[in-house]
Formats: sequence, structure tokens, C-alpha cells
Amino acid sequence: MQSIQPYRMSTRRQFLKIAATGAVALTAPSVIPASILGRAGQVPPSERIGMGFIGLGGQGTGHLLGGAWTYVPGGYAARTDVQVLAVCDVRRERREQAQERCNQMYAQRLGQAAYDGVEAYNDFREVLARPDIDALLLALPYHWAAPMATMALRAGKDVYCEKPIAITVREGQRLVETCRHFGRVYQAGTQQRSEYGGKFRLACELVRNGRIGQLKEVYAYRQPGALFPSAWTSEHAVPVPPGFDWDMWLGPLPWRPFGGEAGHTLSGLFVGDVNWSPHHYDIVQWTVNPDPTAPIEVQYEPSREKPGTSAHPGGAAGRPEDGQVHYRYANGVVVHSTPYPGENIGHDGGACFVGTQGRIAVDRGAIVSYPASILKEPLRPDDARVYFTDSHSGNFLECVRTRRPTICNPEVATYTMNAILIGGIAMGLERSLKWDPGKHEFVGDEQANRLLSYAPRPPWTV
Amino acid sequence: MSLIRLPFFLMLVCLLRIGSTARADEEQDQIAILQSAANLAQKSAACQRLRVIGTAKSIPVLASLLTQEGTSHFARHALEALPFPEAGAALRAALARTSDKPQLQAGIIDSIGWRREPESIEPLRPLLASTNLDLAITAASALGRIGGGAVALLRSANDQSHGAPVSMVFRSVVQESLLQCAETLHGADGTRLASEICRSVLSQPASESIRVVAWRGLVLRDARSAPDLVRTALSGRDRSLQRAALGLVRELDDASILVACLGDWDDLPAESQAALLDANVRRGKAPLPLVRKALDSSNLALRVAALDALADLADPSSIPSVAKSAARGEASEREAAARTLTRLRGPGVREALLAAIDTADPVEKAVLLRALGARADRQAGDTLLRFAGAEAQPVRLAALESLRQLALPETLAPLLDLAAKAKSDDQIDPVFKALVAVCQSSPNTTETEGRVIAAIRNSAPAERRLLLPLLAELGTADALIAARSATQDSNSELVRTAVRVLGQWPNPEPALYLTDFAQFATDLGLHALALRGAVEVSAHEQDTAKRVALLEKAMSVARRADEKRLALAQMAQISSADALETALKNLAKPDLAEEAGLAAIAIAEKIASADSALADAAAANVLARCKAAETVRRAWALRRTPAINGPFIRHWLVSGPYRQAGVEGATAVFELTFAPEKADAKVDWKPTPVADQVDLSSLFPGHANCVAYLRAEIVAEQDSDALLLMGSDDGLKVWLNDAVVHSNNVDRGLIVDQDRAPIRLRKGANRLLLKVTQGGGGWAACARIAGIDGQRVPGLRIEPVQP
Repeated sequence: MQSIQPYRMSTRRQFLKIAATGAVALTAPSVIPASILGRAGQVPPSERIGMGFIGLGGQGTGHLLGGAWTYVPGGYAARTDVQVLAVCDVRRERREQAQERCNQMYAQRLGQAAYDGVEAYNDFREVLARPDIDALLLALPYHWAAPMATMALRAGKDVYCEKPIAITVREGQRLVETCRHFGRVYQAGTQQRSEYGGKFRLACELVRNGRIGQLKEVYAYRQPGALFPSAWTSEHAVPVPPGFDWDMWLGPLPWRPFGGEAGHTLSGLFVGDVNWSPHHYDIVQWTVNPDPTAPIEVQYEPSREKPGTSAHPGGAAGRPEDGQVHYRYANGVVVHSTPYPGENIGHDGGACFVGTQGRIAVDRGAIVSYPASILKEPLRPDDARVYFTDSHSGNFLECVRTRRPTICNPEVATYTMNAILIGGIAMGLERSLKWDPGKHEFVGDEQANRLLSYAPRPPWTV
Repeated sequence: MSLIRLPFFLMLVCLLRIGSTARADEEQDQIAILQSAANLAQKSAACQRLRVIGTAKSIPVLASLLTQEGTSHFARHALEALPFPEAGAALRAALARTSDKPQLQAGIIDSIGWRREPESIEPLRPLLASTNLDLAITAASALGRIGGGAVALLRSANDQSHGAPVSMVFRSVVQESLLQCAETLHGADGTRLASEICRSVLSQPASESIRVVAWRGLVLRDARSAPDLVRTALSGRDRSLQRAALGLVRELDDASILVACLGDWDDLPAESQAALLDANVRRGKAPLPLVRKALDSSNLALRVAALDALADLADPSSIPSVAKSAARGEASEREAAARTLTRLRGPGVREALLAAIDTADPVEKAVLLRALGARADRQAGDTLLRFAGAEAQPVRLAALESLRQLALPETLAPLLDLAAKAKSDDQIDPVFKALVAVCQSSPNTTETEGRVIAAIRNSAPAERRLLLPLLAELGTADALIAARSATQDSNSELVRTAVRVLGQWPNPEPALYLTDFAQFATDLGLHALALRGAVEVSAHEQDTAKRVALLEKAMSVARRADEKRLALAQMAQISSADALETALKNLAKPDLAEEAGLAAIAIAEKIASADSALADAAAANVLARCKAAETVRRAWALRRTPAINGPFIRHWLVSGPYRQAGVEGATAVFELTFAPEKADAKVDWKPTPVADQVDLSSLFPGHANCVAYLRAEIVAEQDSDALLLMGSDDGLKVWLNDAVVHSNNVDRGLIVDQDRAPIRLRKGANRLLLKVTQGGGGWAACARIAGIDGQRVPGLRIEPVQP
């Protein structure tokens, strides 16, 4: 059995702390020769965004090199307005594979035998230390998203972060404050506002412009979720695979030995679903005008399922036995975590909006309205519109260049995440709760307020 | 310590659901765990529970754990959240007791910072001066969060930090904390002090990030200096501050700053001009002359910002310029211009848009005509019709597309005329689409059908054939008469089209007519077309008994087995005992057995929840007659819907990924055959991490359009029937002992037990091989085996296999 080590300080702490606080400019491990970056037809180097990619699992590698969910053929590495400078993962094989593929791609693009301008890192603080990196893409285990994003913002980087963007309300608040203080650009990876042919935007604009009459109810098709550990640690231990930095993977979570599990999260840490629900609730929040808005009450509905009947560990997917919730918003709209009975559209990242004169259901595959005429009538010039972009990654990069706020800025993303987290806390506590969105705290439930944060493990006390 | 050495009641307490309502004595139980020899996991769970339910009573025992390496983190996790002053005092008291354990002390300092108690400022003072850099930095951060009274301490620390690189790091954190404190200062004095702090940090050596924080703080706090600060930053001489200003101007509500900046417009770099435009648009105050000027800029981003700005300015005179950008600009400019043409509003805009259409060249004309549709301009019918017959194809298509979008009833007759004049299918296609839209949205069906029928009647056969499908769009009684009458025409092509149109009818009215037509048709092709149509329109019949009767009638006149199969396939959609009976009747016919079996199973699946006995009997009947793997699988699943209680196969070997150049998509790669499927081929196998589900996307990150294979060995005590339950992302093919037992070529996400297959296990080792496809995104699989009663198979073992 592996012995329990509560903390382990890195031997490179001081060097890295300098880097993470942005106090000094460190020499980058590799400098891209200017001659190779400004060829005819290419974006000149001065306009190219230097990027680092941290977290190279399915999602991170997909963003980097292309995949079904990245919406950019060939990924960021194929974009001429981006220069990939660093790849980082706590698994050696992943980072070396990504490094090799990026270097091969650049060599091919430049028509040369080899290229070594992409560096691979185990410790993300070394990436934060590089002054030539403008922006980072983070695709991390849930518990790392907010702390690492916050550190990156403090180091002067712009950040694109995959969901869930925070696992506690306090983390989200800290993220928003840091982004504002440091004047950085941040984009949450809830791509449905931008992608999927504008179906979600259309639903949002139709609802906001009263095409279904007054909005009364929304069905979100997905349980919310929250950090709600049944136990923080375990004595179960197996050998750490070679090339895997378990201590770094664990990061701010309390110490536990490696138990063979290190995917998106650890079993037993979450109630409900924090992984897919951000897509659903992002669209709900966008549409429940005004935006950003927030629920003021969460009504808990117990499940009829027996505890432990689900095959899912919690967090990554919903668990029926955790129950359901119904949110009440300040403008009277009620949002249900359940599907609209009998409606097939909405399950895939979507929602069903019910108004006094009709109903619209939308997801990644389709949008339908009842009556059908709602969808046939185009929006008029006088109708209110929402933020427009048809490329999520394109919007991030454009905002890095122009410093405009992104379509999923931290305020928006945190409002959504907070709605999910307070719903999850209600499920965890098995009781209904009242919420003050201005103060970011529950009303009249002091125990629930104790669940808005957790104590991170040093040195990750962001 | 093992659980069995704990008293039983402690175990029970440990296993209590954390969120359940606290019992009166629960806090004491949790305290008892912390005071016992329970293991770390149990103590951590107790701390977690005390964080939620703990009172001041818990604080002494939690405090006692703060100094122990194993428990310190969990104890402070609880104490950090307890809303009692004693908790803060306990944390502060632990500072001295952990002075020889800097890592524990760092955590305690952090928790003190989050509690934000002013009493903590003094105890943190010596730590701010600690020679241990980690502790000093953590203390500075904690003081930053406490704010208020910590300002003096942090200012002093900032002033004293000079020299070596290490202290530069410290100073950077101190500066950040100081600026954080400044945010918490209120009132006139507070604002003055906050400005002073920001100004002093800006005047000192500081990192770029910290300078930005200080600069933003100063702009937001010092109203008098803000315009000059922003103007200077926007000039671009200091790149960091310029980028900060580009963001900040878009957040500002202070008009004086924006007005001051606009005065420098001509001297500003383009990106600063774009930010100023955005900021003014946000406030609804964008100055038109500057927007027009920006529209002519050589900078693309500025032009796009100007186009976005124009959308909110009621400026009809800008329409020709916007149309030019929409027609000939760069991609992002074209999109922005098209959006602006759609959204431009205000007096005179519509008239200017119509006037611009007349003078524009064909490419710009097309852009403007499309805008009329996108703007839902219901008065634009005449203008659009004027160009719907234009020679220039882009113009014609744009006008017709807008007419389709608007679907104006008054455009029906002119569009029918256009259709009559169309010279080719290419020409009529967009006209026809517009006509369909008009028919579908017509508020006056009688008038519409009258016009359409008259137009068809007055057309020559060739044109009539092109217009006949409109009758199906109308779907009325008179339209049906017209369509039926066309089936009696002497022109054979017209007859064929009329039969096809009847087969696309939106209700079941033509079903019997088509069946009769099929029965007496001498032309085999017409017979098949009519019969197919009869089956298809039967699907619209809501009364299931009538629908079954219609399909039985269709089957009775069918001349070939494939026609009967078609009717059976439609029968499969009906959820009724009558339909099931009809399907089962055909099981006995050898040429229809498989189709009838499939239909019977589909029907039985629908009625299973209401009449499980009937569904079970049907499944048994089908299993006795049918051999098709899919039918058998579904029949088995219908017969047995057990509550599954079997363990997952957790020991796998994996090989892959395999791909073939040029083959893309999960369903395409499914068809490829790779080494693991070939006998005697050399295959590299590696063990997977032991888990219920194999996450292939983690094992092979970033791969798409490929497959991986999973191998396991199942040892059975005896020959037995069993169910293999599987989930996969994406598709799945399965071999047991080299025979295919399951095949599902899909692109999907994994749901546990989403597929089932009946299998026969043989005594001893059984080889299980899974092929899992990957189009893109998630990639995973899981499998388990249960008896046919849904329970565990006694003695079944999954052995780790050696590669």
C-alpha cells in the first residue's frame, strides 16, 4: 500500500511561483524563428496568438488537433492565426504524443524535415511562466478548472476553459473577480451559444421576443450537480503508472493515494451531474431574460429510485437516485431539471421553453415549435438580438485580439454554474433552498452556506 | 485500521449519507469518530459532516487535529466554514503550534484568510515577514482577502520589499493583495486611499499583470484622472495598458471618458477606434460620422465594428455602402454586413433599401433582395416578384428565396404564372419551393386551392406535371379530386406523377383509391407505385383499427412478397393487438416470416408495458419461427426484462487504434476488418486500467475515425445460456468464441446496458472480443454478463488475460 503523504512541495516551487505570479519574464524554452512565421499568405507573427494547451485527454487533444466537438477542422493547431507553443499534461505519454503530432504538423506546413518549436510540460506553472504565450486552453479534471484558470489569469494569460468551469460557488466568484481585476479575456467551453447552426440562439431570440407569449416554464432535461463528497480520502492504493504525476493530478483536492482512478473526477465527490448540465443550463440561463439572471429558490424533489441503483459514480452523468429540482427565478419563471413529458427534442444539450402562447424545444440536433408557425416567422429588424457568433473558438480568438468580452464570459459562465451548484447542494442536502444571487449565498440556511466552498490543499490555495 | 475493528455503531455513522438531516446526537457521534482510532478516510468523512452540522461543540476536537499531518487538512476544511468565532480563534491558535510544519501552517493561513476576520491581521503580521517564502506569500494573500485593516500592513510590506528576485515574487503578491484590499475601501476617504495605492503601485517596479490591475483600479476609482489615463492608454504607446484599455472602455458607463477619447479619434490605432465604437454602440451613442469613416478603414476589425454599429443607427444613407460590404467584403465583413442589412431599422430605412435595389449591380441587388426576406418585410412582395423572373441567376434566386421565406398569399398567382413560364426543372425548382411555402401558410385554403387547381387545369400536360405536387401540399378534398382526375389522363407521364402525388398525400384519404388503382393497374410499375403510395398514406390514419384494415387491404392486392413486406413494415408502427395478430398470421408464410417476425416484435415492444403477457407470447412465437439475429435479439430482450445485477467485466486487453486512410465516420470504420478479427494475425495487446467502463478516449486521446478492440476471458463452470449486456460509444461488434453474437453499427454515446444479446457460454474459458468504433468525441465501452433471469451467473469468473 502506498503511504499517505498529506502534502508534497515541488522542488521547483520558487522558480514556478515567480512564473505563476508573472513577476519576472522567464526565457521561453524555444523561440520560433521569425522567418518561418510570416510567409506569404500567412498571418504575420505579430498578429498570431501564442497558445498553450493544458490537459490533453479527449477534449483537450480534440481542441488541439481536431475532433468532432471542436468545430475547427484540424483543431487550433491547424489555424493560421494561432501558434501552438506548449502542450502540458500530467501523463507523459499524452504530452509527448501531442508534442510530436504538433511538431510534425508544423514541419509539414513549413515544408521542412523537422520542427521542435512545441514544448511539452508536466508542470503547468512552467507554461504560465512563458511570456510568449498569450492564451491557454484548459481541458482539465473538474477540480482543476477554476484554480488553474485563476492562476493563468493572474499570470496575464487569456483563458478558454472547458466545463465545468468551477466546482464551488467560491471558486466561481474568485474566477470572476480575478478576470475583472486583471482585465483578461475568458471563455467558457459551453459551445452551444455559438455552434450547431445557431439553433440555440434562434430559440433564445424567439423566446426573448415573446413568440411563445410570456415564458412560464423551462424544462432543462438534466439534473444539476455539486461537489458533495461522501468521503475526502481513501486508503485504497495501487501503484501509480509510470509517467503519471498523481500528486499534480490531485492538485487542490485533499491527499489520497492513487486508487486506479484519474479521469474527469473521482468517484464519490459529486452529487448529480456537473459535466453535461452546464450545456443545458447555459442555454436556459441565456434565454430566461434578463441575462445574466439567477434562480432565487430551488425546490427539491426526492427520487423514487433507491440509492446506489445507478451505474454512474456521480459528477460525470446524472444519477436518478439523487432526485430532481425545480428552480424559481425572480421573474417568476420555473425551471425543471426534468424533460418535458413526451418531447423528444431537448435531451442533447437542450431545453424546452413553455410560454403562454406556445412552446419551443431545442437541442443540438433539432429545434421544434408548437405551433409550427413560430419557427416559420423570421425575426424582424425591431426584434431584440443576443450576442452573435457562429464559431466558439473563433469568438475566443477574436476577443483575445480585440479585448471584447466573449460570448461566455466568466460572469455568464459563473451564473450558470452557480445555478447548477445550488441545485446540486439542494439535492445533496435533500431539501429545498432559497438563494440570494446578489450575495451568492443561501437565505436562512446556514448549513447550506457551508457547502459553497472547500479548503484546497497547499500550495494550490488560489 | 480495518473497518471490522471499529465498533459497529461507528461504522454505521460513517456510512450515513452526508446530506441527510442531522440527528440530535449526530454531532457527538462524529466527534466520537474523531476521538477514536478510526482510519483517515473515516475521520475525513466525519470532518466533512461536521463542516455541515457542526456547532461550537465540535471545535476543540477539530482544533486538536490541526497539528497532525494526516488530519490537518480535513479539520481546517471543517473549521474554515464553521460560523463561530471560536473556529477562527482555533485556527489562529494553531499557527504557533504548527510553526515547525510549514506545509500545515500554509493551509491554516489560507483558511484564516477565507474567514476574513479582522482579529487575524495581527497574528499574520509575523508570518508576512517570514523567511519561508511560501508562508510569507500565503500570509500576504490571506491579508488581501481580509482587506480593510490589512492595508497598512501590506503597504508597509510593499515598501520594504526590495532587491533579490525572490522578494520580487513576494512583492508581486503583496502588491496584488494590496490592490485587492483597495477594492474593499469605501467612502470619500476610502476612494482617495484606494487611488493612492493604485498610483503608488503604478509608480513602482511591478509585473505587467500587476500594472494592469493597478491601472484599472485607478481608472475606476479616480474619476478626475480617468479620461486622461484611458486616452493615453488607448494611444497604444504602452501595449499592456492599451490592451487593458481596449477591454475597460467596453465596460465603462462614464460618458465623459468616452467623449474625451473620441476627441483623439484620428490619432488612435484602429483597434482602439474599434473598442471606442463598441463602447459607444453599447451606450447607444455611436457618432455617425466616425462610423462612416470607420467603414472606409483599411483595418478589417474596424470595418466589422462599424458595420455592427450601423445596425443600431437609423441611417438610410449607409445602405449602399453596407450592401457593397455584404457583396464584396472579406468573409467576416460580408457576414456582419448581411446582419446589419437585416437589423437596420428606423424611419426611411425601408424606402432606402428598396431604392438601393434598383440602382445596385446584380451582386449587390441579390444581397439586398435577400435582406428583404430576412427582415420579414411583408410589404416587399411586388419588389421581389419584379426580380423573381430576372435574367441574372443570383438576383432571381435571391428574390425567390425571399418569397419562399415570406410566403405571402398575394404572391400565389404571380408565382403560378412564373412556374408556367419556367423553361427547365432548374428554373422551376426555386419557384416551386416558394409556391409550396405559400400553399402551406395560406390563411384562405379555398381560394388558394381554387387558384392552384385552375392553374393546373389550364396548363399544358408538361407544366401540369410540374405543378401537380402542389395539390399534395394543399391536401384538401377538391385537391384530391383534381389529383385523382389526373390519374385518368391519357398522358402516361402525367398519370404516373398523379399517382406519386397521391402517395405523398398529407392524410389517409387517397389510401383506398390507390389500393383499387393498384388492384386494376395493368402496368406493373404503376401498380407498385400505387400500392406503395397506399401503404405510405395509410400511416396518416390515426384510428389504429382503420389503419390495420387499410394495410390488410393493401396486402390483399399486393402481387409480390416485397410489396407485402412493405405493408408489414408499416404495420410494425402500429401499437395494437389487431396489428400484432396480422403480423403473427404472416409468420407461417416462408417468404414473409422474417419481416412478419420483425413487425410482430416491434409491435410487441410497444404494447409490452400494457400487456406483457401478449408481448411475451408474441416474442415466443417469433423465436420459434425467425432466425435473423436482430429479431432474435429483440425477441429475447422482450421476453426477459430482468433487473440486471451482474458485475461489469473489468479486466480487458486493448489493441488499437486501427484506421484506414480516407475512411471517416463511426459507421464507416465499423465495416473495416483489422488484425484482431483475423485468425493468426499478430496483435499487440495491452491491459486496460481496471474499471467498469473502458475509457478509450483517455487511452487513445485525440483519435477519430478508427476502431479499438477489447479482449476478455470468461470462465464458466458449465455450459449455460446467458445475456451479454453492453454499452458503447460509438458502435459495437462482438464475438464470443470467434462467432459474432452482436453487431450494432451506430454513432452514439454510451449508456450502460443499452444493447443486449443472448449468448451461450461453454464450460471453461470463453473468448470475448469487442470491436468499438470511434467517429469523434467520446469513445468507451462496457459489458457484463447476467443469467437469462437477470441475476449473476453462479461461478462465472473474468480472468485477467496476459497480453
